[in-house]
Amino acid sequence: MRIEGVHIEETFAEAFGMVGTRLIVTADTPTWAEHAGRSFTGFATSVIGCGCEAAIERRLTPEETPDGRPGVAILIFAFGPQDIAKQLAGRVGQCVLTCPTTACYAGLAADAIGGEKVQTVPLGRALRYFGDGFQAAKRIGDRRFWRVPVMDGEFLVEDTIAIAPSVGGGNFLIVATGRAPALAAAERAVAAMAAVPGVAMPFPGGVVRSGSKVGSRYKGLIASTNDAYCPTLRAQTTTALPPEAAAVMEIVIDGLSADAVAEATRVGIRAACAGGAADGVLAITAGNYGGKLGQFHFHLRELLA
Amino acid sequence: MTLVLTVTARPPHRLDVSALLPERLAGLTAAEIERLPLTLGHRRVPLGELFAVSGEPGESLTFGGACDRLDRLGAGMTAGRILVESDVGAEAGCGMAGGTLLVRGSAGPSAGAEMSGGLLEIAGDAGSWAGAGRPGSVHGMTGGTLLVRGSAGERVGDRMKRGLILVEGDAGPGAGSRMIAGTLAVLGGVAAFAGIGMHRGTLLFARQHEAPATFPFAGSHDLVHVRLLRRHLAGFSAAAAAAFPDGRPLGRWVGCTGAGGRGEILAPL
Repeated sequence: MRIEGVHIEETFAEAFGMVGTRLIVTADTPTWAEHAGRSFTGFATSVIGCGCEAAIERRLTPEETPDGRPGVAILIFAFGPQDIAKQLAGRVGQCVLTCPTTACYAGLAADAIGGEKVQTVPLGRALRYFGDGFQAAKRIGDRRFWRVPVMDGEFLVEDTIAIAPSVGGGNFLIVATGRAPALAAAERAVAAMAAVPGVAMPFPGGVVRSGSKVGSRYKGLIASTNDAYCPTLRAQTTTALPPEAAAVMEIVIDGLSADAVAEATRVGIRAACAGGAADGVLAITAGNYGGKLGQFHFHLRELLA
Repeated sequence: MTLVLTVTARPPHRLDVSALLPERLAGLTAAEIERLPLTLGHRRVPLGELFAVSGEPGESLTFGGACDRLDRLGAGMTAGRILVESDVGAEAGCGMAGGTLLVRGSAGPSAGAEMSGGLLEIAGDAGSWAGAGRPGSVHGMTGGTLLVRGSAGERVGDRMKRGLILVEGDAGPGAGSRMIAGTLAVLGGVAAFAGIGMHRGTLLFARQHEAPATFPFAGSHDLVHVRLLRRHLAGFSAAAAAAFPDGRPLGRWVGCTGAGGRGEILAPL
């Protein structure tokens, strides 16, 4: 299969079940909502090293937020409910509570999650003690919030947040004739994927240059450089690269549903291939572990058919 | 499907109609409904002697005719819809936990007493102690929404513990007295002693207000939770949405210091 002359490998991305949720952070101005969002999602590229994976899903207009102020939607993913609860408390406490003029709301409605019983984890409930006894709860409709007195007024934060079974580790790799075309294709992909709701590309700029494989020659290292895709190692290892390939970029996708990850993969690959082989993009492939570890398989050719 | 019960002649005594709920009448035939015993004074009287029955029992129940002596109408309802076409007696919707009770006229005292859920809407005025407790209780309403389009008598929301009351008109003396928590919003004039004995909770007033001496002034603030309240209120009251525009600071008085409370009165300066 080829798209605009770019070879699509017959393979699949192998992804894993995780838990995820969406937060809405509002502020008096878009600038301050952005500061809070970037601070919260900083150092959140990989669950393994950072405890969670998080990214700003999109910016929100005042009409789209619970309090009519500008905001950002943030997606966060982690291994399980306790991990995500800990990350939420830590990040909201250190990066949102502290940021001027912000408020913090659950951004995922329980009825959007479905299933028998929707699980919730503490959000403001974990942070209210910062108010040192001066905090107050406020119930509005069927939602409950905490009002924590702070120096610029009050920090309003929702009591609990619902978490959804999610998908982490969706991916595709862009094989190109050089670093510049690989990066350009990756940038096109990430820009297009930003329009897909419910997905986050948690790595810097949404792109990974240091794709990894499971295992290492060193005891204690669970992952190491994906040498089969490293262009400088083609003479030293069993390479997966065609002779003209000089750089590979990977895009990792987390999503609130398998459908969202599939859609983002589709949209991203098409955008990456948009310039075609003429733009130096040789092939698209994906990473998997033989299909035995992850419960979600995204077959590239099926997605793009 | 709606069942209609029309009062044929205004009863000579007050009549407890708490048994007459959509959920209780749903499976019955018209004949069975007419035979239901009601207690009038010291007599047991079949319903058919006091009401004309028409329509089909189902989720909706309408009371027509002179209902102002019908007490505890809608008490304890958990689902369905009741409409009262004119004034209703005391304790309308008391203890209701769900469903909707709509009174097209005014309500007597203790409307919505100890309600825990659902929506009680009174198109006219509410008597005293609306949303408060019943005799012997330690708290008032614990949830749901009480909406008074007209004015409320004295002690609206007394000892309310949770839930939302909106009064589009005026509130009599002692509004929100001894409030435990929850939100009471009043768009019209608020008489004296509002919030007296308050512990926590929010009194949100659309007009300037002179707080009791036990409520020290805590400055003028643009609070984010008021934006959320406004949006929630806008769902059933355009007047409330207009009364609290976004970004307009409100004065905040904290009290009642006489009760060791840290509730708040929010009102324009």
